[in-house]
Amino acid sequence: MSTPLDALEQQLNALRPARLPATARRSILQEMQRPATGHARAFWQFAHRTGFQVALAGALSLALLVGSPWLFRSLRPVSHDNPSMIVASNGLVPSLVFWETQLAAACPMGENTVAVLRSPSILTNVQIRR
Amino acid sequence: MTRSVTISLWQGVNRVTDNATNGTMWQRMLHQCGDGLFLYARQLCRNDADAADVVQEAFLRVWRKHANNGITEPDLPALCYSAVRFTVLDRQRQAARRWRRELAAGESLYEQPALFETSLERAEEQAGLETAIRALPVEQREVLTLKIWGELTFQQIATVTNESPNTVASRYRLALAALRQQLAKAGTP
Repeated sequence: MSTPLDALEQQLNALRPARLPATARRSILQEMQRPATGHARAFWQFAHRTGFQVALAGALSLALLVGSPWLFRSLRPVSHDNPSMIVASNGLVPSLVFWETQLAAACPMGENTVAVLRSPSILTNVQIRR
Repeated sequence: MTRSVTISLWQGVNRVTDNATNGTMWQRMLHQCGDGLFLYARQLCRNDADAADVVQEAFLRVWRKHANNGITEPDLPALCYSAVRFTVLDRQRQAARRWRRELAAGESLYEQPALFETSLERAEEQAGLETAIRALPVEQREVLTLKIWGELTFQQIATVTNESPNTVASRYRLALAALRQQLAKAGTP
């Protein structure tokens, strides 16, 4: 049996809501049809997933573990008195020593200049002071 | 503008929406729920432009979040209505002070467009219903909109509005009773 409220419900059901503006509808469709381009979008799609976040955190921790010994070794101060330690501690230093020798042969230098050339940290300090 | 141009423009607009019936689940959802979402947003926003922006933002937010996680079609309407509500509240929180000031200054100046599509033969009846709906308290109007035009269950409405299903059901009954009373008072059948 239909009650007065049922009749009212039917009346309300017969009303059709005003349409969503075509511009808004079109914008939504265009946004959804836009192809997923670039790594940033792919990253964003995965970034909110817990599995991805755990994997990312794991990879970063592993990288920190593996990299920390190397980092500490490279930060350790190098003895300026022993040229062989300089050579051993950094792969770039042999070429620096070579150029230092070449430079010394071309124009004679004082002790301070040689020390500056041998130690990048001193060189930096000198530059900062300037 | 000539008649042929008008017709072709209208066909162009229709093509965008009509193709949606054969498109993806998301396009179908926009086609079926777009107007309902807009109506719901209009109940909560100050003007139609804001409501359209809210629907766009909310729908795309749901799409971005759930496009790839195997969500099923029956779950989507409730999520979209929820997103509309959340987006409106979020915006209101951001601009609460400005909103209150503007509301105090100019609400009466803003002429509200019709909530429903008008048909000539039932214009009077529709106008009466619309006036009665606008006079309802916001909570009742919200539940009525979600139930009738959103076609959500009381359980889904309860989830969207963050209330208990019993509260939602009682608000719906109260809304219908109030509407009936107002229509009787106005003399609309």
